[in-house]
Amino acid sequence: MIRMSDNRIGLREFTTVIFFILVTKVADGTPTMMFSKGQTATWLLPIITAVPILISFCFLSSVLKKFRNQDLLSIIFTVLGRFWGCLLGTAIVLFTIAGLLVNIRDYTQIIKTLNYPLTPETIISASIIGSSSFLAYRGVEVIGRTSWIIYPYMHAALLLLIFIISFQLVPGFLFPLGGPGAAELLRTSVTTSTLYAEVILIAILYPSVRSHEAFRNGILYGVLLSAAQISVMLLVYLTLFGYPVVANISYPFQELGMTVQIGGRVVNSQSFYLLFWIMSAIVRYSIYIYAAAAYLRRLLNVQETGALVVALGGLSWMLSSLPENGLIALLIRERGLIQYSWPFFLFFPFLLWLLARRKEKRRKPA
Amino acid sequence: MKTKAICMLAVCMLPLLVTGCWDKKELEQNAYVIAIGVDESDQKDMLEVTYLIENPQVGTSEIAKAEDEPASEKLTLTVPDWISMQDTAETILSREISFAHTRIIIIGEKLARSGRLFDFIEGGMREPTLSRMVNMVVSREKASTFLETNDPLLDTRPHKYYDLMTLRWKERGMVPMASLNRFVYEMDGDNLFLAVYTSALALYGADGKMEDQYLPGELSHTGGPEAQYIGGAVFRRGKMIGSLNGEELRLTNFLRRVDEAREMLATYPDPEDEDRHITVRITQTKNTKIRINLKSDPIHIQVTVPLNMEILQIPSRINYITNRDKQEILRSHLENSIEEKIDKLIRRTQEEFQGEPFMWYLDARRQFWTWEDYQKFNWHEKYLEAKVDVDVQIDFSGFGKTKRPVRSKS
Repeated sequence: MIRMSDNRIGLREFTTVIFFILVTKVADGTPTMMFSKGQTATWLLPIITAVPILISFCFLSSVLKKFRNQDLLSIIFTVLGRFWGCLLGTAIVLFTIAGLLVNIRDYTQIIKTLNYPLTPETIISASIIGSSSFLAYRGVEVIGRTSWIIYPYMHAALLLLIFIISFQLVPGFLFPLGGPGAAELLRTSVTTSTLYAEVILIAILYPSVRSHEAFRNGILYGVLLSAAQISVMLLVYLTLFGYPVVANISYPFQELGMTVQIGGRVVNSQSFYLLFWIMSAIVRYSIYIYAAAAYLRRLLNVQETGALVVALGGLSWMLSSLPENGLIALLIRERGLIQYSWPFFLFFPFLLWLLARRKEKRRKPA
Repeated sequence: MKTKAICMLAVCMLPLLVTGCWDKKELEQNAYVIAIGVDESDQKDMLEVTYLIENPQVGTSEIAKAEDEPASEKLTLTVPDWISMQDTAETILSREISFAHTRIIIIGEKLARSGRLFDFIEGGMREPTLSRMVNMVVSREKASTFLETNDPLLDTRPHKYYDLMTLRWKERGMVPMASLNRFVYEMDGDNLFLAVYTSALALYGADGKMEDQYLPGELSHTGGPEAQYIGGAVFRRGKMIGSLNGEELRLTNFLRRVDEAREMLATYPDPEDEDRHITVRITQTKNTKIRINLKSDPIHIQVTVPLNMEILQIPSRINYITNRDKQEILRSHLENSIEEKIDKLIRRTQEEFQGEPFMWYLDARRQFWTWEDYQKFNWHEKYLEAKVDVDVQIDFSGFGKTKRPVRSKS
């Protein structure tokens, strides 16, 4: 069936978009950060962490359903009023942009360190931002379609990697199973729930998804799929390198690629995985840029998303080269963005739901 | 028409992207370092580093082949470390140094014993093109001498030689499997790390031992490449403190939960005829069982080693094959002599090396819930006092192609 393009995406595209946004994190500095807290039980964290964020998302989803066809920011405006809505909207936009900046910086650093030591960082980040901005410029439908097209290859390559490496793993490295202990593990799982923060932020794209069910299920499947995938990858890192050594490896995914051997012939497969990794990174950043532009469009009341995308791309290209090195960017992310922003993602949807409910009740008797 | 022209122009421009600009590398412009030899130097804070460099133009496709060039080249320099040596080396070499295909790091025993090894290894962990899984080898002589002397004739291309050699190591169990990652791991956990032990000089002469009781360099041989890889260099806290011979290494492999060796040939004294030995092929089809009682004081470790043996040679011509009683005698004799050797080895690790190379800590960890509890338990200290019971269980899986010795003695 040929359907007219309506600049909206369906369930499968949305699921894969969510998958890419989340799963790409196993290939950057995130696992290292998690291992220092979760120790030998780190592989459980993605699964435990998914629970509070999904509960939080349930509230958000019910609010979104109530205000059909409105995006997150319009709802915030309606519920909180102009002043608070504006304040919160600005905060969200700044957070999204900051996340985009430090992530791009982190990726640039990884690519520079491991693959292109001589290429200037500005060129690397320009090519990443350029490609993602191009995708974002073409709109959400193109992003969705791209991610749906590359998804099967990406996942197959990842599964192949896990299969080949499985012969070199030492299951004994899994123990002690409890890691830092159950209480600490639960605490960490709440504070690392920013791992899935995008799930809340992406609600700005609610009107761009074909139906409420597609949006809800897309998030659900996307989170479950990537939680399982991230967890398996963390298991692989742990049983290959062993704790505490693994907490000291900056880029475990790339190190893993160097370890993989197919027979005696195919070695150094990290170059092969670089391709897949960059593709998923570009999808991830394109959705970041698109979402940031969508927030801005609402906030500034501009009609044109394309111009905003271009502006955001240029801005993030310039700003992302500000931190001295990628590790500082990583520290900013770890210390600032991740450590202190989790209460927002866990409680904000609940508050929104509560306020929306009160407003509705007040309106009804009248 | 105009868009078409622009599209065509864009397509024509695309190939320009393929060059990769800054980090462009050509195959025959690179010097692939296959082995890195590291030695102590007379000068303070300096190293003597040897690169074994492979020529990618030998043994490849017909077109790129360079007929008269040798397959490899060696270069030794005295430098502050083996990473910064790259640039110093390029004042001599015409090609760009690359660690992307490094298979092996060879460390001179003197440096290994000095305790400063990790300080020099550290840079290797940071070097992005070097894999953490690269093999670690300790040579009894200087690493530069080792690389200079060893000259395999059949596998002239060094990467193939080391690839095949690693495969042999894995299958025969005479040397440990030792990676850079494992070295750092055991150093962190205060347990013993075993590195491959080697020598290319047959100077230490101790011929006439059983097949696996040698240390490297003790076997005098005629023909073949010079290097002998047998036994393990024992590291504790990043410092080499002793060595194990091939036999002890094989026993260590038995005692680890998963035996990496596939099959090995071994000889044991004949129980009925003291002057002769019998030859067996040992395979392990079932994993070694390790039970650890952490509650008792001292801790109690029970190890069950199931072995399959195929008898290959009985020079004494005693019928161990159809005579069931004799077979039982042989079985208990073999079991006892292996157990005795294992006991001796374990005492040696507890007293001489003061650490545990069998990776039993992995099994001990299963009994802890949190990492902190395990750290507090102090496995390393507890092992030194531990009571270890070893039970070797032998199954005779076959007797080769003949049924019983000809004119057997009863």
